[in-house]
Amino acid sequence: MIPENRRRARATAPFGVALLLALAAASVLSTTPAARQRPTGTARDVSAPPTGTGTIGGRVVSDEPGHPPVRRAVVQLSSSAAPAAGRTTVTDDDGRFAVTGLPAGRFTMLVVKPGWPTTYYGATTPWRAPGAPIALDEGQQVTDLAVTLTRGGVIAGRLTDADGQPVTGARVTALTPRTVNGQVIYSQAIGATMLLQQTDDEGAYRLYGLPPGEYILQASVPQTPARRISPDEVAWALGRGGAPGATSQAAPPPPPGPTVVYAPAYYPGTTTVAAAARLRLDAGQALQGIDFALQFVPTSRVSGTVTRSDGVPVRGAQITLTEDGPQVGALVFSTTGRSVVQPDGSFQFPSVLPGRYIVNVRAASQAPAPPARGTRPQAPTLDLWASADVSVNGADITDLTLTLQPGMTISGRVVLEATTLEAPADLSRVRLQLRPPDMMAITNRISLQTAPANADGTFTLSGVVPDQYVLFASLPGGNPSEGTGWMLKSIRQGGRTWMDEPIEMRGGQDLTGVEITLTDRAAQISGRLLDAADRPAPEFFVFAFPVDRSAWRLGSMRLRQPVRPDTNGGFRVSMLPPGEYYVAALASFEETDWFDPTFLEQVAAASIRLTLAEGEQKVQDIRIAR
Amino acid sequence: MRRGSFVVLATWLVVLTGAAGAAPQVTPRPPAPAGARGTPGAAETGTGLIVGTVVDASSGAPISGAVVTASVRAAGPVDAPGELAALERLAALQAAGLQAPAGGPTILRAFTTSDGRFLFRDLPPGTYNISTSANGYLTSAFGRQRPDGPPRPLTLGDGERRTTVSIRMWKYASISGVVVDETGAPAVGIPVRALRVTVVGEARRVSPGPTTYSDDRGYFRFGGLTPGGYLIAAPMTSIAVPVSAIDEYYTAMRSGDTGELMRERLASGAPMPTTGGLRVGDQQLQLSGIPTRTLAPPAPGPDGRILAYRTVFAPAASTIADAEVLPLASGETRANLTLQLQLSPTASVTGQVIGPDGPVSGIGVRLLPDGNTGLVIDNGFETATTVTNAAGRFVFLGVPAGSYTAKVQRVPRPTVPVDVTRLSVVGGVVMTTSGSSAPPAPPTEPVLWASAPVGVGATDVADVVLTLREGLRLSGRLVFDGASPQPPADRLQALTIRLAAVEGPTIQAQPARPDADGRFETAGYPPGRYFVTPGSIGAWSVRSILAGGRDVVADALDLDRDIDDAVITFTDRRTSLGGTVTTTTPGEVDAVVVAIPADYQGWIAHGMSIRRAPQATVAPDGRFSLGGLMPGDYLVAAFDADAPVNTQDPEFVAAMARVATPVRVAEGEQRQVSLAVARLR
Repeated sequence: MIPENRRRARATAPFGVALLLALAAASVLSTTPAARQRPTGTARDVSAPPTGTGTIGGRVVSDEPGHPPVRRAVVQLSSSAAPAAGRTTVTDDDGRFAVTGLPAGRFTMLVVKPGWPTTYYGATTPWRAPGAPIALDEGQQVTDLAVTLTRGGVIAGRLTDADGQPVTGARVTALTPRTVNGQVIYSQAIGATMLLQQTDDEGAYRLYGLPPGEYILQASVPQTPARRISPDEVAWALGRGGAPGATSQAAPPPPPGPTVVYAPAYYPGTTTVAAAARLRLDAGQALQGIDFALQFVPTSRVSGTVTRSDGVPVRGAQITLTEDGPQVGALVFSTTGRSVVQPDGSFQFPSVLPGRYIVNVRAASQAPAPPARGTRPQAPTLDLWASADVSVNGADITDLTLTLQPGMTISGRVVLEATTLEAPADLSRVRLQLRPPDMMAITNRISLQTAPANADGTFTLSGVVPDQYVLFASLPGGNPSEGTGWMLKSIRQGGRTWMDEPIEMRGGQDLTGVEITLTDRAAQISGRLLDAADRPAPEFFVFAFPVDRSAWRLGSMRLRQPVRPDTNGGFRVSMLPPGEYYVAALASFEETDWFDPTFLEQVAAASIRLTLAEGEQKVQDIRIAR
Repeated sequence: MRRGSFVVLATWLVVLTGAAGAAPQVTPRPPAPAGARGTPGAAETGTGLIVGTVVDASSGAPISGAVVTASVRAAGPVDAPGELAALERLAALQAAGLQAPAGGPTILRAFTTSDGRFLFRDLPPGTYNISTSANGYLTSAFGRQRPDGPPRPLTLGDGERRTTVSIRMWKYASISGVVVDETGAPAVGIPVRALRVTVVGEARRVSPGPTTYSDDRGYFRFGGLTPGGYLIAAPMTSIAVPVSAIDEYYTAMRSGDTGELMRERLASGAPMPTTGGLRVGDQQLQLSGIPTRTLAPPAPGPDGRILAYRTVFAPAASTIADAEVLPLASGETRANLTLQLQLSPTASVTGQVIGPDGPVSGIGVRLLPDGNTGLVIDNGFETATTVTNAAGRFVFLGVPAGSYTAKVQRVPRPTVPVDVTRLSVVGGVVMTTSGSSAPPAPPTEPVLWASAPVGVGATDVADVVLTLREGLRLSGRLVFDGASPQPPADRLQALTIRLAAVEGPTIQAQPARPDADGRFETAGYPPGRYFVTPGSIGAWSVRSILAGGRDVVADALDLDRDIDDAVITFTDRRTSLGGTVTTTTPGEVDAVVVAIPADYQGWIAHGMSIRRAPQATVAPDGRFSLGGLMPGDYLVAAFDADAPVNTQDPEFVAAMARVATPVRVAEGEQRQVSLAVARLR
């Protein structure tokens, strides 16, 4: 019953030809192995944002012929030192803008206007963060930044029902297919102004402000299942000849029609996402007449009982039914989902669409202790579990039996190693998270559990189902984008040590005495990225990644997305655990490359290698050899 | 987000049904094929049959693909409108994959065939409510003779076959048009709202309906409007947020602690901190627009004056008082409406909010234009909104000349305790569930309010002082006058007592709940006229509400001070007015019976409480019963089911008074009358 094959095969597909790898021969210009002086002060220093006399300005134009100015676009600047608050303005009729009163720093800029994809200044793909930071010295006047907005595209059409009639109130959205770890996932597209629309009384929808790209159109409609009536049934009910009230119930009744529901549909007219058409939308293009129809699928009732092996009645159990199919990251109207387990242990999902599902049950073995007067009642601890795979094909399933088994617990305590930050006396602000090893390659089975530590640092995670997990702990504080804050250092238990590697939980084996250490001594690499002539090279990315290949997976603390240097070539990768790292410069990379082991292997060959000690603030300039 | 909050709601549902000791139930199920019968909780079956047709009310054409829903209760009095509302709730639960609560009706559903036919077979005898839904049509029900007419239950005997059931459906009306800016170019991402106009008493009641946003062509369309009178508006609000408030929010976010801050902001309807717009001094200015994009007014000219868009009501008014009501019949389409946005020179309005302990920071302040008479909910129709800074000071930016009211209203929100958060990924959607079993803690802080008139001309207005005052409270006790045992403490504490504003916007305060001794105290409300609306408890219904020296059981309460000696008296004596309706035409009676107070002019003056104007659908054999009636003198009349009955319209009431029969009903009396169907003259 336990999913065995949860770990996904690593992507082996070669990465795309469009990927350019800039070979980065680096020369070490300066290295300061010792930690630099840290700024003092508490972690929660609420001070007014710094101001200055610098200016960032420029002009926003359209990508259309003649590059006409774009007026009344909102320009927002943000820096790691201060949020975007107030560092914002609006373009005038000539597309010009200027934000004044800026302190020295690194600013990123984005431009927003309805009907246009949101544009990140300097980004390789303009509507996808990160953009290139703009380095501003004290009092510097930058007034000539050019931002070109891409005119948004349109996908419009009509949705009809099985009879060709317009469907009102259906939700239509655009999904982007992406390959992550060899799996295609369908996530909601980004950057559009109108990405999800309800069809109107004519069945019409119109998504607009879409960035160019590849899209899949999905429609779903809120409704409850109903029975289809066949002409035979009507004829039988009306007495064959059709004379109202005429007798003929002697004739054997035809079988009742199936109970059906409109399944989520994909253009051009399928209920399977993998069979959907991929629409290519060019910049500013309007794809009209993208009409498609909803289709009926039969629904089934899935019911059964939840029991306890010790015969004690089951109370307060939570039961979920989740689809085990390709991942579609969009909200769809669904007739499946959650249910309740009745006091006699029975449960039912009244209308389940065809497909493969997983039924998960969580229950408490004991009622919570009655609350002391004046305190709020405790939630029961869901320490029992059961799970089953179910395949549904239109027929009812009425005999599903799930026997609850005790879940395991993971317990221990959290320890803080404080050197520059003040350790809070109350550790209940520490959040523990038990999550699947690969957060992005989410299978639909996942349940992610979070809980606070107790004030004294002890913690217990209960009801853990046998599987592989990553245990993670976090504590807010400092300013992580500035390199200060709390970082997970290690997880130790009985001579074993983990950081963010998977922990195997086996049936019946609790994990106790776990010591989780958080430190404020994170390492950092910073420096300047320079070209062969020692000029700043802000058009490239700096990529720091661990030498340890076991950390080459999405979700590893040591593996970070490549960063863009600022306009002076300055870069920083902060909040790193100590260890050996590769550092490389990239001309560009595809969205999913940076956690693709094949890609990393190739980049490693063209990287410099360095070691970071705990808390080390390494300054490392990188020169690109031509 | 939406999904997440729904699941939290679902958790409560589970908790609540569990607490009530729910019996095993498996109620909402489609008619099961023979093989699936015999499972625990399967619906009762019989040999009855209902065959019918769903038709377009105006053309008579059959409607295919309509969903017909039948619910059955074995016996007992039937409250058809209540049952339909319950059905809609059940449908919502089912759509979310949840089971219906215990004890609900059995529900059957069928799609109509291509010739509009539906049938339900193997039916047990009972009373059926049959409703229909179809694309492009208003939800309808068996027995409905006009779009908002009363539904009728259908009674099916043992083995009975009803094969000529016809259900009429009315098409929605639609309005479409474009929003253009001051240059005539399409304005993209502008909110557009449809407001329903109805008449209550002598006043117009304007209820904001659906919101849409103009698309990349400036086009908008409302496709699902109930027939009636509408106003169409592009409401524009200048939203100013101090930069310090945004910084405060981001600082809180960085330390993972925005919950309390957001709760505080929501309590006073303060604008949410967002990160873009036009920087004006220490404020950041935005215009209300499509949620995915920030809209901002143009950069000010050399004189520094901000130009902002005024709210526009079609065709070109800036308040409801001057707007044109568009009457829409079923199936009617109004196209080519143009809403032109105009930039106006504006001024700023600055001031301070003062509370009992001095200046109040972080509280939302709203500036509402005078002239939006009858607007039931004014959120979204502010000319400007802002939030006070650390010194309690506020500034409204972008205010065109006009007369306004500045308002503060802080209604505390309940805190929802969350002990354990469980995230799960369902079909790629991350859902959050609260693991807490504790109900939301009722807020203990008082409702605070302030209001001040503000006249704006060509120059800035300064030093508007808004002094917060505590809302007025109604408190007192419950009295149970009758032979039945007094309700137990848990039933008493489940009772809710609300104050509903007779005119003006509704205050979304938490309802009062009595303690075990039957004492209650409401939240605080701004001074005004309110209906006091306690629910009923089992066999006990409200007889009188003495407050401020008057019985306000059916009249508005003038809340001009705290009232602490209210007495709500419940009675177990059932008062009713029933009888028979006769018609001149043979066959089934299809009529409705309406009663209004004999002193209808006084009733109109006191807000036309619907509690004094009961209605009932007449059974096919002509019998009717107005249950839960308050004793008193009434005028009663029977009308055809398709007559335009509207007891909130003084014209109808006056017309009805001319043809109605006077009846006196004493408390506990089961009064019987015989009525002929009347015609309105």
